[in-house]
Amino acid sequence: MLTFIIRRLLISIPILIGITLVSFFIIHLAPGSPYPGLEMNPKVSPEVRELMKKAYHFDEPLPKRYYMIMRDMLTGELRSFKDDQPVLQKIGNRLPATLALNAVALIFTVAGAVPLGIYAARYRGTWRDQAVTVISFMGIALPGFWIAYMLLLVVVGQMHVPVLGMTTYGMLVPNSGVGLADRIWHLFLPSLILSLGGIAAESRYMRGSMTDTLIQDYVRTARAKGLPEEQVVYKHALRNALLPMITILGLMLPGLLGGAVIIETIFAYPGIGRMAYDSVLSRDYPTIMTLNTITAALVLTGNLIADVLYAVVDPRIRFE
Amino acid sequence: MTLAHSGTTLPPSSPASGPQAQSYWSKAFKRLRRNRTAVASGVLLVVIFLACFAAWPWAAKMYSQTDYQHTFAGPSVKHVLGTDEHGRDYFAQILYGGRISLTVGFLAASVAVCIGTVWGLVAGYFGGRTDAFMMRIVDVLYSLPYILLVVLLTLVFGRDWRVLFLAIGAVSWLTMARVIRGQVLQLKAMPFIEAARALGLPTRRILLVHMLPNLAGPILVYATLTVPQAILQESFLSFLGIGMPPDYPTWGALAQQVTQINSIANDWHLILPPCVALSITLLALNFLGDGLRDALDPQSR
Repeated sequence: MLTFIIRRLLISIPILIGITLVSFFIIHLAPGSPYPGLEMNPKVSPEVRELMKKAYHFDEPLPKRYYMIMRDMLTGELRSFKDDQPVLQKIGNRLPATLALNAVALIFTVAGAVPLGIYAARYRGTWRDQAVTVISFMGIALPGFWIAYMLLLVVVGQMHVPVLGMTTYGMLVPNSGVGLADRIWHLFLPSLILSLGGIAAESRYMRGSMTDTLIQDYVRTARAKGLPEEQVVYKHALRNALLPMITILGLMLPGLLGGAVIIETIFAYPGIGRMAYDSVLSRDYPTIMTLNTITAALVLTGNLIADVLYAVVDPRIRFE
Repeated sequence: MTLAHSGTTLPPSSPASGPQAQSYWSKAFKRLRRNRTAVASGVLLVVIFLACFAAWPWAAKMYSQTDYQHTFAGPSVKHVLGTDEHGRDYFAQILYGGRISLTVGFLAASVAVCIGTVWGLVAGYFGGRTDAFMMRIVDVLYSLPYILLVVLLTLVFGRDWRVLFLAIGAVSWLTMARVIRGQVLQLKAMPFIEAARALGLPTRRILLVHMLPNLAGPILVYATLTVPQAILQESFLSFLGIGMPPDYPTWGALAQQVTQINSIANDWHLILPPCVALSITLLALNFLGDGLRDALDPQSR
């Protein structure tokens, strides 16, 4: 097990380097610069222009620039082009918000998808199954931004309940119980919408997994010895049907983090998704690269945890 | 090399060559026809396509017809879905935007299908280090949130409709590549591929003549499922304000435009149509793709 984890960690190093290479070259092969306007402005003297170039290391050849940006990233020296703040600190300030959002969305996904999948599998081929199918396809087909927008219209527009941001504007008692409740409420809607796509997709997988489990011999045995159906489904079948879901939840992470870009933008939620969007718009190269690397590291860690968990709950899995 | 031409005399052990081929596809078609949801979705899609593409000249004419006496008009006989902030017929705009949305979706999906098929084919067939290297690249791209990648690509290469579908296509081929690679690995172990190799057929011929026809099923299924994804991604980008250029009002862009207008809460005839059109199309494409998967790959049920 330990060797497996170590090997996986070693494999993820080239993947992370690959991510930095991909982000670096997409950014730098493109026309445009982080200081548009300065180059064309006749009032900016050539000396200043040279100074700017030097400050951003734009006078160096590409490989050297890559080396410098990587060195700074690893030593934590990398600073944002936009406000000259250390990138790691900027991201560190916002990461907890996004992690909370994703964690709650993940909980909603499991809480929604597993019962829906079980229900559809138990009533496979009937109208109930089809109803679940239609609902889950609607979840895939309805654009999340639109549902978010509709909710905003109703909740904020009609009911005048504030939901934007992480706390209600002007909330003066952030550390009290009311403040906590306020934060939870501001987490609720965005994560609910973030989880909708996941619920739709996962419930399909759960249905498939449960269907496969319900035709197993041991389920027939359980039924044959006269156990009540509830006990057969929830005690004997469910445990085994849940196994594949662990891997699938791990694979869901990039989608959640990507979806956070849209949801955080709509709900003005101060997480790294919105930060990534802003930094791409302003061509804040150090921030984009660091964010991509951190996101990828999160995804790889998520997958690793999923694989390890799988081995923990299923003793049949052996690592060679 | 003389043996190369006798490749056609291979026993038709592959399901997609010889007389069995027809039976595979006609069986699949029969299965598909029995799936009422898939058939209904197919019919609906044909209707949507015809409406969006056949009405194009009319919609384009209406698109430039502003009428500032009647802005934000509600639905009426003259304007079925009312008018927008410039007094233009909204129904015409939905059709106009539909053509662009569908075009972007299909172009992006074809880009994704081409890259994904070639990638999976090459990786799976050559195996070994090539496979490991190519699949590692897929892993790298998988662990990046695709939406950031598209945003990055569209921003750095400019806001142009060609860039947009290429960018969406460039991030949507990963699943395709994995599926195709898996299929190729299975096919590679089959006797007819071994025979083709033993005959010394050129690799290109094995890949194109013996492998590719057998991959048509999964390619078709995943192509159908990639189209709605691409359309959805375009609408996300439009909603963020970095999708198609302003002259190309896709469904996503129409939805976004409505959110920019102040008097929104009462203009339900402007809020609902673009998203309803989008959702119905995506729903139908997903149902059709699902039906195709059941029909073409009965084991996967």
